Amino acid sequence: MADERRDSQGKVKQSFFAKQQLISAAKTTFQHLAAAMKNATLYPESHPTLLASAEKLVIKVQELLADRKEVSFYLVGGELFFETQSVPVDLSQSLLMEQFVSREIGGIVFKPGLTPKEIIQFAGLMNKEVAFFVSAGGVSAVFAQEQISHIELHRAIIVDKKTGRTIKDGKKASASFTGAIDTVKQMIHAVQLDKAVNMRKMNTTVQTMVDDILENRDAFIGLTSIKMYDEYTFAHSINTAILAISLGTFLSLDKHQISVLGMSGLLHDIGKVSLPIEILNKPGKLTEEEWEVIQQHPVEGALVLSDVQGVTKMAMVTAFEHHQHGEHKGYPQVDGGPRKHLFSKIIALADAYEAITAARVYYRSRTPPDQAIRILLKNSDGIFDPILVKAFVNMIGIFPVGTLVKLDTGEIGLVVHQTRDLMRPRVLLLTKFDGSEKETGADISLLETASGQYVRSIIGTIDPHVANINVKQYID
Amino acid sequence: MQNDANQEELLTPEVQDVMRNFVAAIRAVKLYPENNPIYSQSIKKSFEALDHFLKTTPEYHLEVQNTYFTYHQIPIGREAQLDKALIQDLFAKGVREIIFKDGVTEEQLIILYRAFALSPDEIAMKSGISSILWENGSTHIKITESGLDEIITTKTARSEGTTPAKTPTRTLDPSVGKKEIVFGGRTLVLNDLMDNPVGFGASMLALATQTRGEHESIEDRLYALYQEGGRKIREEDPDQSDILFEGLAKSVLSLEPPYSEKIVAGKLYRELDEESVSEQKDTPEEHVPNELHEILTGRFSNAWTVPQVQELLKQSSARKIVSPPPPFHPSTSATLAVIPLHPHLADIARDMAEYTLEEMEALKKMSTLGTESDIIEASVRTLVLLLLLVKDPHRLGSEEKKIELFSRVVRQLEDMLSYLLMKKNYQLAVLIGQAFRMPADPVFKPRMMEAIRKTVSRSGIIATLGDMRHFIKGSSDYNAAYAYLSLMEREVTRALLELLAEEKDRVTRQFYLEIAKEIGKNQIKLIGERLSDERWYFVRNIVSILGESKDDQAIAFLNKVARHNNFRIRQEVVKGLISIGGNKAATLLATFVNDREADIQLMSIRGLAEFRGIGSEVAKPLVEFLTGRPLKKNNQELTLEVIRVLGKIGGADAGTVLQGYTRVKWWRSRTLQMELRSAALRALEKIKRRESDGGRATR
Repeated sequence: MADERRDSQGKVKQSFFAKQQLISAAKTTFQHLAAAMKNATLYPESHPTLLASAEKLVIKVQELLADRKEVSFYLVGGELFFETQSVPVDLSQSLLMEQFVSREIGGIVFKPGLTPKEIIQFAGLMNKEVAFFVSAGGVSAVFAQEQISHIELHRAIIVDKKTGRTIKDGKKASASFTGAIDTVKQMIHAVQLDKAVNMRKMNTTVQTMVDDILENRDAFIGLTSIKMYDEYTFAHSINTAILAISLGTFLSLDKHQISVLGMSGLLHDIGKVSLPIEILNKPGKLTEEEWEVIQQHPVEGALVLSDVQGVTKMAMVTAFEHHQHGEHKGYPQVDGGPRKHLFSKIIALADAYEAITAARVYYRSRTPPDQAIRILLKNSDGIFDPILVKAFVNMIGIFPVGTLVKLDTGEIGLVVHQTRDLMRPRVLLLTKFDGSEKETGADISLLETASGQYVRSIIGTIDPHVANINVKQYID
Repeated sequence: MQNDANQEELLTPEVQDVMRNFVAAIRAVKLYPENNPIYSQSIKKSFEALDHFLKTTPEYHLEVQNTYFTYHQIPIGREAQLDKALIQDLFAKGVREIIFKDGVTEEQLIILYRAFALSPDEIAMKSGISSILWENGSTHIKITESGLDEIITTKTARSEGTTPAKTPTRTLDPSVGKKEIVFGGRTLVLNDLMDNPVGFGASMLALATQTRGEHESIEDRLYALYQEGGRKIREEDPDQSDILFEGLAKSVLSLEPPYSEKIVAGKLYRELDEESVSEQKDTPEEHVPNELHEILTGRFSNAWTVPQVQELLKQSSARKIVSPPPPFHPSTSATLAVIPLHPHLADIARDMAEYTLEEMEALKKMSTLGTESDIIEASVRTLVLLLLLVKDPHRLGSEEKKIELFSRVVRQLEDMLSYLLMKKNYQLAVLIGQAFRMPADPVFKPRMMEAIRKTVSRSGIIATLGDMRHFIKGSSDYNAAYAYLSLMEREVTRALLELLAEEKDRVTRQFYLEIAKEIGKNQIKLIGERLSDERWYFVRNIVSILGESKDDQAIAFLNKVARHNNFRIRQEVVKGLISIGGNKAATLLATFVNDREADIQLMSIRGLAEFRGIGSEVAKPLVEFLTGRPLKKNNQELTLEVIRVLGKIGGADAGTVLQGYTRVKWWRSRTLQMELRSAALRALEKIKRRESDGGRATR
């Protein structure tokens, strides 16, 4: 599959691999810019060291220009972006970012024809005091005067990023979620009564979920953390689907692949409808034999789904495979060991994460949200695909959306968005813990620095129930 | 009709123009390849007409009837018979409504027309035309398809004939009847538990509503009351506790669904689950996902039975009573309990930050999965595994049920096989063919045999052979197709023999012959039966196949045509015998020294010279041949060959005859005699050497 392909609107869609390569190239380019800026403070303009660093930067920019008309970096809320991709930066580059922000620079654009001389001039100018620009009539005026024509600067972008953006047409994430639960309930009840199931409706539900998650993944990830015990049996399928779809979007799979994942997530436990109710509702511990019956559900699910038209056959495959974990592990056992499809691995991972976080919520164990990630990592050799686990952790974060965190400043924040640094998400600062209505606090990025040091860092997590915070109202 | 014609007049020329071009484009995409100018021109015209229309009207709305379109309920193009088949096709594919919205692009139209051109199977595989449009981001075209109500059928163990155990009707000891439960000042009579559990439940509900705390829900209070009731029964009436708890359970189940569900699912089962968790040795999270989670996510049904709820209530009443929630005290950020971070968390975050090259390569490969071909491959493998598992004798369920499920999976595989053959995907077709031929218990065998019978059609075999002709020999496609045919040796051999007989083209015949030689190796009897055919060229091919089999069984059949009138056939027999080798073949081959064709004689003798390890009895016809053979120039070559061969395989008898060739008679041609003498002496030397070492030397 090509790293880039065009969709029906002619928009270029990059694979995950291509995106990672781009981010890596952008990071290196910014590092060279930082090096050039630093060298400009240490050496005169004609010094070979400064010239060399400027040339390196020009080379990197030219490499990037091979596929685009200009090379654009943006500074938004303490984060560095290359076009629309967030670029991880070290603390050492944060000083440079602070420097730009202090001069109200929110974007730097390099154009074709850039020369090392312009870089050196630019670096020299950037190292001047802010007052210099004010007296000279602004940055643009100074640039024009110095004949720097291949570097453009943009003003700082003020971000007012609210948590839980509403989805198109004013529909909230929770409404989509509830709608999906209703659809799953209808399906399950129809199956139980041997009535017809509208598979078109299921397909539409999945497609809607995919569109909604592409629009606002954070809100849906946050909703999966709010376990509704009463509805959990049905919500589990939705949560698994959401997590699988989210990982699919993170991996830049195409819509078809993502919708296949979504349907597989929704239907992975359908085999349990065939299990004897007496065993599922048994008011006591199951015997070995009864547990073996429960373990039949992947086969039952696959048998059910094998005969259904209008639903992707991958749902049958994932229903069958999602509990297989290598030879002699998991179930069902097959001769020669299982041959688990990637999508089954994704569903297994989503299912497991769901189970771990449910246990934490339902059984009131005082375990922090990040423990789920550590458990997945612990089991990534043998049960889960380690590469998928890594991608999943990067997608969901060590502190997932909806986590309440304590900062070293004494403040409390609610995680609302992941950044490239998993230890430094965006948080909404909260001040009221009296059960009152939702507050609109400051939305800050923990990547923000001052004098080269991070302004805030996470030192612990807090149970939202203890804090009497209704997380849902912030996510939705 | 007249009415329709009148109605159609109400449609503007633009509407009709769009319709005409739309239909033309659908037809063009269906009939012509992409590089045909008609294909691209039709699409372009269709787009232009539609685009022009949508400049003044927000949408173009077509309904698809059985044999005609309607535009906002007005029939359109009803008279055009040409369109009828096309519209019927769309209708059969489930299309009922098509709406074009302003902003539709030519690319979106292409996607739509291509989707219309797919077969119903292909459309079903992609979950419908609207799914195809959605996946391709075609947001300006809306398709409504017919309600595809699919039945997911599954029978729970309950509906398989098992019925829930009937709760025996029990009666309360009259001495207990008048006893009461006192709840905070209110009194409820225990007798009601059995006589009128519904009433008891209603009373409990009323009591809960009246006595709940400020921050307490009705359900929580109701639950607390039932717990208290259960506790009182245990403490005050242990002898009658069974029957009383039964009544208590009935009263819970008689409550309105929100309350009964809350108590049973939300409280009773939750307590049970929490207790299970606390009893586990490992922390629940270490087991991913754990048994309890599997059960929790399987409780779809709220068809709880009285015995189940009874047991839960008993267990619950033995536990500590749930207190109402404590009064709420607001916190500050300083007073909130903080769970410190794990010491390795920062390291984990750092490890997650970068992907290694190997990880990136693996992620790159991931993007190729989930495509149609990949899904089909995974489906085939899963269905084959299901076939094995359904047959498992340890699996629960009646034999009838197992056969039904087995049959269902086989049917799926049959459908899949048809699709794969249509797509020429022999790699997967072989898997299914092999699955059908797996060993199976007698009870499943008939269905397997039926599946095999359905898949070994002559037309299918011919189609596969046709595909093989287009594959490069030795390629994976070719080998897969061959492997697929090899599963049906007998049927394929039969088909090939027939094709060989009918085929006029020499190259094609050669192709069939090559395949038949390989596949027919184990079908000697079937092939040999065709030797009596009147067509010499057919018989020659049969002989060729028999020869290539290298099977001793073929010799008996070759013997039948060893004296065939047609020398070409006899030649082929000789070649075949040489190919087969061995004593038996050599014996028959030796008789060809007396063939009436000199070429065949020579061929057979030279062939015999290449044999190894044959007995001297094989030489008998050669000895007889040489005895009294006239000395002629024409005979010389063959005589020399026979002498040479006798040197290799002859015994004492041969030696005697060869001695005669060592004496030169003055009245005969000296040159010829000297040549023969020289050959005879060499041959005698070999015979002597062979006889002196006891025949140990390789002949």
